[in-house]
Amino acid sequence: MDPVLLSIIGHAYVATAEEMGVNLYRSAHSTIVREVRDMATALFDADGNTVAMANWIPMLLNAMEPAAQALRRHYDFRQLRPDEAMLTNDPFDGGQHVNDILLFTPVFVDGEVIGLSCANVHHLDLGGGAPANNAQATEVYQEGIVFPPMKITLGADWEDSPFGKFLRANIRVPEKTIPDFNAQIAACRTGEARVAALCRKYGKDTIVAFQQEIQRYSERIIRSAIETIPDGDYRGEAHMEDDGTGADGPFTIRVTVRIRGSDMILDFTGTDAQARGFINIPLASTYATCRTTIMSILQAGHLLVNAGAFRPIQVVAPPGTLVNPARPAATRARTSTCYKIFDAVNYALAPVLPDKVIAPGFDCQTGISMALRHEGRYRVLSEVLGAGVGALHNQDGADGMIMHLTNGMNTPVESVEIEFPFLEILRYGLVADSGGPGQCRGGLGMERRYRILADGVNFGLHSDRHRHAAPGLFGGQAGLPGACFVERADEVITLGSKVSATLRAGDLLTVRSGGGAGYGPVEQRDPRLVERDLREDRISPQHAARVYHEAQRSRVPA
Amino acid sequence: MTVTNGEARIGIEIGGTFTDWVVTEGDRVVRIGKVFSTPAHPEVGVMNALAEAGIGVEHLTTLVHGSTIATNVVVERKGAVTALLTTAGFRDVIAIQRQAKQRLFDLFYKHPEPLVPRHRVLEVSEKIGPDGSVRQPLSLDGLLDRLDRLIQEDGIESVAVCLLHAYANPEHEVAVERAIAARFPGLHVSLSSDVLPRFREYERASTVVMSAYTRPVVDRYLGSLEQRLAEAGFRGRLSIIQANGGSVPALAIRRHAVKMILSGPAAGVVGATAIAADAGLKDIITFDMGGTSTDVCLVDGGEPKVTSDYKIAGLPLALPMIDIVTVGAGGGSIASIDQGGIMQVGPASAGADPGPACYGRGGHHFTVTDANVILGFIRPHTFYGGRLRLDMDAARAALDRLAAQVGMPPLEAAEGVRRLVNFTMAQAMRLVSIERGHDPRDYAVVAYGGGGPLHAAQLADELGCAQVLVPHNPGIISAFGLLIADTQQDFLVTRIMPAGDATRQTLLETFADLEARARAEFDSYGVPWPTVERGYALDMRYVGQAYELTMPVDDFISGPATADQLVPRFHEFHRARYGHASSREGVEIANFRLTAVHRSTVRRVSAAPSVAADRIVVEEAPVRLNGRERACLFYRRESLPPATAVAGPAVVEEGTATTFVPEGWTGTIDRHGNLFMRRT
Repeated sequence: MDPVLLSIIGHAYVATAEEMGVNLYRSAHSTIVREVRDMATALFDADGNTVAMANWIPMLLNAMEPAAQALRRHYDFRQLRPDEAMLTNDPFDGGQHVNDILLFTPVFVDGEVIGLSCANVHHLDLGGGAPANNAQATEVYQEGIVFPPMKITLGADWEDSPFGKFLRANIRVPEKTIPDFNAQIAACRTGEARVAALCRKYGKDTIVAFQQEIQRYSERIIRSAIETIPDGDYRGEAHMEDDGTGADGPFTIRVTVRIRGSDMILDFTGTDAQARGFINIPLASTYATCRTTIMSILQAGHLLVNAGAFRPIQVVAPPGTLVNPARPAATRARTSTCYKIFDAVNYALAPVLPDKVIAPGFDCQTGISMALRHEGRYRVLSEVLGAGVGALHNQDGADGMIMHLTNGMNTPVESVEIEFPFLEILRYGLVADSGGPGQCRGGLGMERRYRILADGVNFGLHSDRHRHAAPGLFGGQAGLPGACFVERADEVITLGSKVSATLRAGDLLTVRSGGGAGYGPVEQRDPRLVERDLREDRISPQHAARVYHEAQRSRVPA
Repeated sequence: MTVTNGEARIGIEIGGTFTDWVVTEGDRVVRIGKVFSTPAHPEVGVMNALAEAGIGVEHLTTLVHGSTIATNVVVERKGAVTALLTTAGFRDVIAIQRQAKQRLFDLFYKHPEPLVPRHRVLEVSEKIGPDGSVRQPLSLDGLLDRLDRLIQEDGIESVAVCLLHAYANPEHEVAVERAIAARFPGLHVSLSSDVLPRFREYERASTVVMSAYTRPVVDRYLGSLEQRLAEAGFRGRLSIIQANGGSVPALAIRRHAVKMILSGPAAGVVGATAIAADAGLKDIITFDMGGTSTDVCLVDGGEPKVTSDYKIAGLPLALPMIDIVTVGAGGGSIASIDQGGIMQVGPASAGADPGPACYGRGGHHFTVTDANVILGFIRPHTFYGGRLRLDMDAARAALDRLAAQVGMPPLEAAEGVRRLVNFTMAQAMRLVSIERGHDPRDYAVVAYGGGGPLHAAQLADELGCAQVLVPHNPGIISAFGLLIADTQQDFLVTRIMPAGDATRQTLLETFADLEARARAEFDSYGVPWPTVERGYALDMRYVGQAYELTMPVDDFISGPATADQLVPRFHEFHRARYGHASSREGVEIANFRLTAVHRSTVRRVSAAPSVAADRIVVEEAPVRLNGRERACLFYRRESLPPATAVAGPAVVEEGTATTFVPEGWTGTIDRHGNLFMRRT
């Protein structure tokens, strides 16, 4: 296929995936979809290989292909009927945590299935032991209903079908979740229509050929990037400090990155056994994390990220461990553990790719939920808090940003206060001094402080690194850890990083994320940057004196 | 020139390279022209345009002005030293932004730098609730002293104020403004409740900060311009075009400079819309292709689409503005090959300097203009009326390098560049039409700008549009739009309420508040209120949705529709936009919008009388099309009398633009001097 046509159809596919997503979030109802945009959209070939995906949450994007491959073990896509769809949210068969439902619809052209259209949405609440997030869960059954890979008939009246009735009966906030599901269906339909239009324009055979050609293109680029890394075995590890059950940590991810020519193997042999708490990573999420991490380190452009790009990268995930747990492990808080894969791989590759890798950021998901049942109806707020990003070889880590595996937006303070009258937000801002010192400073963590205005508000949190932050690279230091506490009358109650708690009117709740780690020795920091940080209150005079000025005085002139 | 009858008016549009001007007398265009822009002192460019127009300044009744000054201030970060005042606890709203990344798989990504650094954000002790109630009274303790310190240390010139929920109750913002004005009378103060009384604190803060940041610069510029005009004897009215396509007196824009941002392309859309309307076309897609980018806008029923969801330099600007989609593809866009072997065109551009390789100024990249030259669409001796000699050897050498990299024969690669840039521009047209629920086959393309007419018909083919209009003088449409623009302002307020509870009375009451604001504004312009047309709309959504749809409700205010029809109308509106509706879900109103318009007296302007040629000037030359060379007729546009039909493939050349009529299309000059292309 000529390089011009490949470019044209490639961009048309990416634009379609974007359009699917824009329609999805703009017409969704829950804050987790419409504001946070915890969702993903993509197009596949008829064998379930990713052809193009949109600019949403990388973790969810790169998790769609494992789901497609799981469905393929159950169904022959080419035998699907036009009114059929497939879905799964089973953490042990292609799914992520149960909140993420992956919906696939067939793309029909001239009576033939030539691909799949997919929308992956984090649903606000799918039942389980607590609204939105159950920090006490030790089994998947406590986290919500599981839909194993299944085929459903998806007509206009799906809400009245057995599937629709079953769904509605098992979830706490159907008035949000059902419209979100409708938006998800509409996104898939947009993808189908656009690909069919491309087939009319360029010919079905051209489009089918394109789907393979673009994968070969991506594979070529990724292979040439891997080839620049010296062959060898590179090791890294990172830790979760607890699993929410009170069991002693740490829970350790260990990875060996094997480079052999243009092939890369990420081998997790030696990783700790699966946890009793909800921090386990479903296998599909392990794949998604490895892919996102490698694509980020290799600085892959957007057009590139498809099944071809993943072919040179193999993952070895021993069963029964944190990265490939056995049923019925709990997995709701898997994202924070996924970030430990991200950190371990960056540590591993730092010696050979020092100007590409990033020091650990706070690198936890920090998912917050607030729920209140009032007059028989639940109101559930689910939001994510950014943190400090790790420093790089030539720049400070970003202050108060979402971490790199996920890409959730914040919920505007005014939207929260309009929609959830049972709480008020008192502060939303950066935490000074929280960035890990170094030649390049780690980013600042942030905090959200709430005043609770009603009794019986159910608060849930999943995060990590409340006791220890990760060390930086090449002499860079750790940032500050995160925290969560409630001020009630004269008392300060420290909550852990994984909590389900009931709050009272008048409680002041603070959720704080930590800072990113530094890169390079603090002695090497440009004094002008220290002065800028001081002027902008990103560091306090005490911190500057203790950490930076001290170090710079002891610096030996070259 | 002597003014004989009708008002003499001039439109002057300052662009990056050229300042364009159009003089009208009554409803007739009498002169047009271009002078070089003078970026360091833009007012000099205005005076030069006046001088070249040769019109007695004292006879002018109106000067309508468009300028990139406000846009450049933001893009180049050359605005006023600005402070921001926020509710205590929220100083970091503009730093954190929406916390997400706008680009994935990029570990080096950082948020766009805010216009106000962190140490110039001051917190104010106060809190208004979402219902407008005062939750914590305003305390000004120490605030003015802290501000004074910043003024001393940093030289603050302008202050933005954005307090939480100020859209629901502006009293704290107003009190802060009064206190500042009393102590620091020279300081500019911009309030979020005045600039954008709408919920979502980051987007509102970003907009009011941009307003404060641009205001002193624009204020100084307009002050200096007014002074020079007065010295030259100008006694008419100076108006400024805004990004919503309306013009307002200079005095009004000095308070709301932010409305000037991106006004240039808006003026182009206004001009194109008016020309199309004259030719009987109400549903159009405007297509303005320049050197580095292309602007596209959908006009439905004679009304350009409007958006409040725009970003400039990565920062939100949430005021209503003409919904123009810009893509980084233009004549100077560079063709390149990536390491996986895919060809890309743009967004990198050779710009005006060194420009395309064929300009012979040292540019060695192969660009879209080079492709047009190599393929024969642009002839070196007629380009820019022969005023710029083109270097064919440089263009060929650049092409050979590209062809070697991509592994294609050179001419095939050059055709590939044209196909790719056409695709990229067509994607912008898809975005404003198909992706927003409009079928492009119902629209005509109106092409202008330097490069638009050369590509327009092929884009129309790509999208299934059957007609393309290339106006007379396609290079000065924006300046022309200035003179057509109505006086227009938009007013908005957030009032969240269930749509089912809304009665005619509640709608009328809220709109009456907006009308009072509008009336005061138009009174200050000296425009009599009864001559002002009003358009009413509501931003509505399903309960729980975050994104509203703006639905016109004029017939609820002045017509027969009753409030109980609001909800059913919204379901249909939602279905038309997104393809589905949720009739079981509740519907709410989020914002009330009022658009107030005083129609321009110049509704249509006929083209300059064409110079009657005694014969059609035509030559034959080869053009490469679909892999083979074809003989093609090249016409001089000025020599084509009305109603002459030109069958494609053909090229129509004029001073500043070249139009390509592809095979299967016919071009005709209409009675207004437009070149009309139709698929045959």
